[in-house]
Amino acid sequence: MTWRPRIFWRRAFDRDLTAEMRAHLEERVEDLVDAGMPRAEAVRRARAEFGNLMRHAEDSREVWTSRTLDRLGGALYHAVRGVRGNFSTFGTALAVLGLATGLFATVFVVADALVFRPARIQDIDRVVVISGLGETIDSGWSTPAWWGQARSVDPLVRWHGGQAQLTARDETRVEDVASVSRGFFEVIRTAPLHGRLLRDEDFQNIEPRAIVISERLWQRRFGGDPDTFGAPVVVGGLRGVVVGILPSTLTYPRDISVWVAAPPDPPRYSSADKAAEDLHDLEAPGGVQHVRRTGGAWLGRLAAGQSAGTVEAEMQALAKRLTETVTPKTGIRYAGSTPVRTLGDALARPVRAATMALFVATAVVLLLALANACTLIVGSVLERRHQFSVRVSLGATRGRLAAALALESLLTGALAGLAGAGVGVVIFQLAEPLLVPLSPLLGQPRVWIELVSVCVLTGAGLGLLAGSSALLVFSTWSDWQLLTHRGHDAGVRRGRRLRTGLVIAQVASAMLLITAAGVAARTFVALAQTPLGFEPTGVLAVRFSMRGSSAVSSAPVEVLLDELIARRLASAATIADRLPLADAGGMRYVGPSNTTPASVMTVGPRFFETLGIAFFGGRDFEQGDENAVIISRRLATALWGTSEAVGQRLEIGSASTREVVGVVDDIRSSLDERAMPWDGSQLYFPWSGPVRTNAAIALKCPQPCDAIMPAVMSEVERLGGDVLWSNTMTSVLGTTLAPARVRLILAGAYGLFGLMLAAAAIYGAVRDVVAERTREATVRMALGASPRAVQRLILVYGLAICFAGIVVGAAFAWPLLSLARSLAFGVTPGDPVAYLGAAAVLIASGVLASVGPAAQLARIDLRALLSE
Amino acid sequence: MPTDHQDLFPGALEMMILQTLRLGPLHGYALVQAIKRASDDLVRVEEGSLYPALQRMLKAGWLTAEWGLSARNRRVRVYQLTREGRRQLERKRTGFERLTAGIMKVLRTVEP
Repeated sequence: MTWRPRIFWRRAFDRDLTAEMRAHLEERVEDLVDAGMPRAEAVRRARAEFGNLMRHAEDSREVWTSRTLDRLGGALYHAVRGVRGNFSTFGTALAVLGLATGLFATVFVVADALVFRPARIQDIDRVVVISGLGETIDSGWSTPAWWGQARSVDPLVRWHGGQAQLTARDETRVEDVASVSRGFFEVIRTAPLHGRLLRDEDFQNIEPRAIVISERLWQRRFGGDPDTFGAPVVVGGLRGVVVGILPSTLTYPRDISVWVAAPPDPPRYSSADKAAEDLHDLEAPGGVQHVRRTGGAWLGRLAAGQSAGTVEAEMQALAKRLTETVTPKTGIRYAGSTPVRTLGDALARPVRAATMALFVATAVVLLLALANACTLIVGSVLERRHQFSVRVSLGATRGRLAAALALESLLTGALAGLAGAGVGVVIFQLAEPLLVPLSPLLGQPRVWIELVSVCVLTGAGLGLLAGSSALLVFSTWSDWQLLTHRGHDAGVRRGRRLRTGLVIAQVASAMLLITAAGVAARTFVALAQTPLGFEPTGVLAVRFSMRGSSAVSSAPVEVLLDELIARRLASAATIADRLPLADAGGMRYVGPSNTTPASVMTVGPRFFETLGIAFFGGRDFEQGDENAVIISRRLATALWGTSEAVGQRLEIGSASTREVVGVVDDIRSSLDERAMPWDGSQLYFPWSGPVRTNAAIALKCPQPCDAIMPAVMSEVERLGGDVLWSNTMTSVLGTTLAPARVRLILAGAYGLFGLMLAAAAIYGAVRDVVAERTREATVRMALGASPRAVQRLILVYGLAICFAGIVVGAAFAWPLLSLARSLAFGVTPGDPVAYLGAAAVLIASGVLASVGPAAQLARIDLRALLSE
Repeated sequence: MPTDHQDLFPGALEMMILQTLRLGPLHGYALVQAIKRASDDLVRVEEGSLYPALQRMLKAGWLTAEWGLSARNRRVRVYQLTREGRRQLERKRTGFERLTAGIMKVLRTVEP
């Protein structure tokens, strides 16, 4: 054997050195025996002279290694042995922590993409979104140059997005296209992947229009061909040329594949008078023709020293000045801008409540798992106190034992982090189809790096915390107590109190999660039972646009609908600009002084019959009813205090009135009226004029809708239309309920997880008490106590833990659920049914978990125990 | 006089081990006994000091170690002086003699 330091030599080194020292001892014993000393005395004396063999070996080993590394290695060695020797404890802790870590990391990554950093834009907090700016009460006209006077933002830009036809390489397909104004890329501060961004001169040319495309579109439509630059394309009826490609990391505006330079700006106006003469629409002249508009916004980069609040104040002042000057001349009233928000805030706001509720619930699950792991590890420390005594008597110091204990937990946490990474990857892959549509950032490769990093860091953090609980118990034992066991009881009692506290914390967490699941369940039921005002069953909805820029009169569409009825493919059919639940609706102010909000729909013949909307008065539209209007009962009541509104004249906008010919039931465009406070207040105009680029038809199907869908789609295409979307209204309703359903499933799964861990924790605690108090119970029974009475004591202990957890959990549940109030519908955060239900479930599980260990007492062999 | 190594000056233990091994290879226990005998029981090397010192000297290349058999036919590790160990012994001895000479001069100084 070579006597050189080498990697992994410790075991061989220790073996050789121990053998050498033992030989030394034996030689000494033999010398003493030869000198006449009895062997037993010789052995004792030799050992006393030699001292602590293990410590001498350690001192010798440290000559070859770093003292710190050697001690760390020794602690790691003992930690690995500790984990292996208590595999059921640490394996369970690892599984629980791994599952919770994977779940937490997945939710963290989702929250990061949706709420914490919703778009990877430089200085996103210096970009503000100014919604509703420039929109008027009466029309969609806007006055970009007027708002350009604002000095609190520099520059101020706008974009309008929607679907438009893109012809490239002899292929025409509908793509998501945004029309952006000069300075747009300056605001969002992005760099092109290839080519260049839009320059000032690009905004002067009507045609060919400079366009920038996304990396994904470049790959999909152009095969990543470098010759794409300069290639002629036609987008929304405009000739264009590709000048640049944007990286896939740019995810704002959402889903946009093509960015087109907006038409040239009108001159900058210095007075409202001039602006009023030249009210300018973004789409005309020379704008992209969208087949469907999906959104748009004004954006600005905050000037130095400005905030969202100062921008809002300036915009409102500008709106006031414009209204004061323009309204007397044109009758157009300008709405003040809605609250100005930073872009990050605006993007996160719609999903913040749901995502943060999920994040908090997952954090509770993580804490619950940590408490569970701590309970197991503290129990393991208490069980191993004899083992510690042996090690101390063999020369191990208190610090080394503590280091090994901390490392056991850290090792478990690190392994849990790795296991969690696996769990996270699986969860993320399973949920990816649901997650990626929420944010394109979730479909990017860097998500995996983030997921694994969060798992490993979280696992290590949990390991440290779990280790701290073990050290907390260990620190209560003095060196003397460790060595002799004397006075150990006080430390053990403290350890047990800590463990009981951890079990109560788990029950409390479970109470919180189960209550949340109860609130989610009652919310789902309330949403599903919301009266819709129409009958979705058996209705097929088809949205289409006419090809090219041509519009057709509504007559061929009506003929088509008649044909479908004649061919018995539909029992009733209609056309409308939008359909309930399926499309977001436009809002207008109507009535005296135009102050009552209402959703507006333009509907063809048989609309109310097809959708099964009941009439409460008056009649359906008839020929020659161009200036008639049908309103909903809610609107009628709001306007005239009664649903008897037939024959009344309704003011719509500043310039026209229409006669109310019918009053119908209120229909819902959204199940939760808080999203649209005026929902149910409807205004129906009769369909007139041509079918433009975008319309919807609805058919009442006499047979399963799926069976007639292909025939309907081919008929629409024969008419010259492209089907953009088709679905049954039942399916649309299901989609509308989907978020609540997902919340219910998640809350239910979390509640179940919490319940399982809490029940396991109660079972463990009661089992340990039974084990510790068996002797006491035996004495009680020997003195005349009935086994049932002793069992009752154990059961009471289990239920006491359960009740304590329920009370603590309920105390935390109320404020936490109140924070997520916006997600509840038809139920309050303090809903007694949810709380009582959760408490009942936990008590039942507590009883079940306690009955088994308590029953063990009945099977005690009294005689055998008393004889011990 | 039982002596802990802390009572020796730095390097004294190593010097005694080197000097003892210059007379021939020895195992750990024999080394302790040889030093004890040579010092007329005035110096007793403690095992807690001996084995780390042997490891330091092995690491420095002053000694080599081989497994062998003791006089009682027990398997022991036998230490042997290397050439570098001999040189080191000479250096240490010279340094020690100069030091003791200096110390003695100081001790013999008579106050004026």
